[in-house]
Amino acid sequence: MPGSSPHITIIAPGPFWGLPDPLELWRARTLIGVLARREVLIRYASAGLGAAWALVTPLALVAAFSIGFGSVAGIRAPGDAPYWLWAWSGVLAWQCFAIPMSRGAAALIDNERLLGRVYLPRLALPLSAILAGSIDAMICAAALLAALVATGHQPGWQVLVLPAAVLLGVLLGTALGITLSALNARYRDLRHALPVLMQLLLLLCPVGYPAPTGDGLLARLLALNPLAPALDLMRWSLLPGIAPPSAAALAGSLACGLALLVVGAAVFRHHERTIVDRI
Amino acid sequence: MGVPAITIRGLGKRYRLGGQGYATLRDALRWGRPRSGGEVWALRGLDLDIAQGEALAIIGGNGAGKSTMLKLLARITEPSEGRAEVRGRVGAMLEVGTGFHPELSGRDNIRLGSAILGMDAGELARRFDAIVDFAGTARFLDEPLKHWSSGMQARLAFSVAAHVDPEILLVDEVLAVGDAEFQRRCLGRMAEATSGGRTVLFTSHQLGAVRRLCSRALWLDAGRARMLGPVDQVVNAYLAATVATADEAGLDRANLGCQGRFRWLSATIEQDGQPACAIANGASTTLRCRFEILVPAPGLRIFADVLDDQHELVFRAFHDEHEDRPAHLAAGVWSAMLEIPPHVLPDRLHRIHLQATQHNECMFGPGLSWTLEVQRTTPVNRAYPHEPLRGRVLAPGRWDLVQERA
Repeated sequence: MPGSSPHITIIAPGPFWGLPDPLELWRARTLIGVLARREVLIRYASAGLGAAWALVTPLALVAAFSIGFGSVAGIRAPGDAPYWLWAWSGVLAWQCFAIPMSRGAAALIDNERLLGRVYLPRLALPLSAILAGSIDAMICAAALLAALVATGHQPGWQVLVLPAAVLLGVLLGTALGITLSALNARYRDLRHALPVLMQLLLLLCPVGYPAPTGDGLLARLLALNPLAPALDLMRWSLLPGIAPPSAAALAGSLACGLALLVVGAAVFRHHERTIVDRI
Repeated sequence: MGVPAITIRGLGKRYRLGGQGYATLRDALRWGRPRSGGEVWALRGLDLDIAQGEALAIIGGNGAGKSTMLKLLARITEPSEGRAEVRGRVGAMLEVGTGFHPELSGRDNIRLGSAILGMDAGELARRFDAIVDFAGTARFLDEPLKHWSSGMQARLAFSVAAHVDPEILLVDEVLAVGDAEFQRRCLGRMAEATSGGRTVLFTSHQLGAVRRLCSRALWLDAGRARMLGPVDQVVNAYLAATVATADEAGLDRANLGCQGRFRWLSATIEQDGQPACAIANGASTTLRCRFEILVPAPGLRIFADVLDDQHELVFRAFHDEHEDRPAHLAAGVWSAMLEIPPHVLPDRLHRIHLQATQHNECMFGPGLSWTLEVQRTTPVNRAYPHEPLRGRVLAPGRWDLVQERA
């Protein structure tokens, strides 16, 4: 009965900086699942091609890279697989990062009506959008594995590491996605800048071309990219004759991802407090 | 009274004018920019204890802070100062159909809406059939919501919200949707909630419903608590203070969507020559208005609706009710008045709505509304002065009795 309820909610101005409550997020897991389901249903219910759309973006990228970098610029892929498979594995790693980042970034503005009408752990919105987006990445991964087997480039035992490579990309993408979702709701012109930012990032990452080696300034700067080890790990796990990334690089990338996640959560919490008053 | 369900101390919410709203990156990059505009307190210095099982009404005009108060208690937005403690699970019904999506089936929308309102999967499984039954929409469950009528959508949405079954229920004007029959069921459900020991906070312009459902009322005025007490006292005081004249903001709102063809200039409800919203039953009431026709519109008609406290239409009076043929009003400024004779409306709360229409379809803006309380100051039947009046209007005819044989 109501009288015996021990559940007390304190409503007061929150601290300027803080982190979201992980326990509250755990209690909202049903909600996150249902919201993710809604995303998937809506996305594919209104699209004629249905789930095939999940392959259109990555395959278009693979085609563009194959023509631009592979044929015109004559870049040869490292390892034994043809360029297009090498590029596709890079695109898969990119998708693992880019889908959480872009879907997460849009999650709050896409749901602004909801935010103003009902209380829910706000982090549930970007997280459910990211979860829904992971279906697309999984379809892309399954198609790539099928293509590898069909062309006789069966991956070796390293394929067991594939989930780790996926998770590393997802971690980085989620961290940025959460940060951007809050900033996106705060600064309305950010959404125009995001597509440009995504394209620049894609070209800065060694997705369509091998990372430059040597001691040049450019090579060193590009080696700092925390996404690069995830890309290398993905390719090593799928393709024969590729060198694995160094343990140090992987650890650096992981640490960077975790740090960004904490910063992102704090930025999110900071803006979450007043987000409803602004949208 | 034991531990209160809600304790509120010095609660306040400030909004910045100008600085709020959409910011742009350019603004953020311009370092140390001066704060534009001032600030406004939507709610300030609120102290209140709400007992468990109490039904509290929050009344006040537009912008008085009613919605802000509910939004703070529902945690939709954070307060700027003060503190509140809420003991028990809170269910907020600030809008019907939160999170519903037209592309999804009724079944999926029930799943979605209930999760958003905080139900977990087990609870939903137990209550699913009850939700569908209450809404009365079982036949269409697997159809996408966009093929449903808006009334059916509202019923489903309310049904979901009503079955969340929180210990504390915050309700904001949801009863404004749906037909009269459905509104009665909503009110019934809320009455059930209060008698079942739930704490209910209810904001509404329907003062009749407020009186029936709530025992205490809080009157908010410009963000401050103006009066707190037994519901009848507060509602009476509120009505007595309500100005029966449309102010500038009200006129501006009423003239939205008139596209410069028509304009309300003023509107008042009067009794004995004085603007009043609480009127005596024994005297006539006058609805007086002035309007301007900027572009002549054939078939333009002015009408007033009088609705009772159940939201049912008592009557509609067109300005050309007794004309032989459609009237054509020329461009210019017009003044009009409608007289409601004494002893027509029973002693209840009513709503009067004034509007202009063309060929009964194109409405000129949303029109103007007032809440009107008819008070029984003179007995209708002197022989039985305290007999409650039945029906929506008092009997207009008179009996004539003749004794034929002794």
